[in-house]
Amino acid sequence: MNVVRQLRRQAGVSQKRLAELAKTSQPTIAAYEAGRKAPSLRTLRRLARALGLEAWTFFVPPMTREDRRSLALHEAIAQRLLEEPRGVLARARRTLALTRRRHPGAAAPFREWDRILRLSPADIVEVLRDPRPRARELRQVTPFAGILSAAERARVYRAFETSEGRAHEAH
Amino acid sequence: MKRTEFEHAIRAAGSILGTTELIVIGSQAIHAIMSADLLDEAQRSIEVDIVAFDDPDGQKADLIDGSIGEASMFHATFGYYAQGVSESTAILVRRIGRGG
Repeated sequence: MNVVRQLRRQAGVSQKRLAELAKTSQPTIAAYEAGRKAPSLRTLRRLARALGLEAWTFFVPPMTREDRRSLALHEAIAQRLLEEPRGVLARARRTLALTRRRHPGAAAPFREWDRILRLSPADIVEVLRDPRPRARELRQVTPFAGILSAAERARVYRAFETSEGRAHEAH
Repeated sequence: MKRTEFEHAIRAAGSILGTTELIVIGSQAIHAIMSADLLDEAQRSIEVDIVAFDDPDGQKADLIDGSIGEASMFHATFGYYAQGVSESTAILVRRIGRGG
């Protein structure tokens, strides 16, 4: 889901109300949420303040195609986690335990996942969507294996290939 | 990743693409020149990075990854997986290797 829409819904405000608070128009908010327009940094900060949040900007090394694909996959997993937190977390903990037993040499990232899986679903989702290098590395040893069905994965990969194709054409 | 796991992932990737020729990049490529299991430290990775020949747009990489890649049922079942890597990323890795 689009991040503006997601944050607006979490705050429980309408597009019209958010537009008033952020000093913009409802059609502009609708365009942001539909992905037709992208807010400037200044507008993004106003939107964040209107929702009782702060928007931060940080610079990270460019993502590889595989990083972007992994992020797309974990976005779908994040949605499932928010829909069915108990079932998804129970499965992730089982997968983590299994992987730890099979790969005793890779203790550090698994310890970190163990800590992360004790957080609230909303905080775990932050990690799943985090573009920074450490989160990219953690996703490489994701405990969320098997959460999405083959058909769901196929949909994610098709959408990813379409978006990558569009990005390629834009350049 | 143990040698048997490495071989399993490679065979599975080859079956998916219907080929017996693939490129392995990254840390697990060391298995190609070692006949025995590696030291524990060298077995930390749970994934092997695989590049397919003639894959300019990454579609073969996505096919490998979608089938037996990160967070797949293969990954859930065996505890390791194959990451399909596009040619563009493989070139980036080689440049890094040269200090570029």
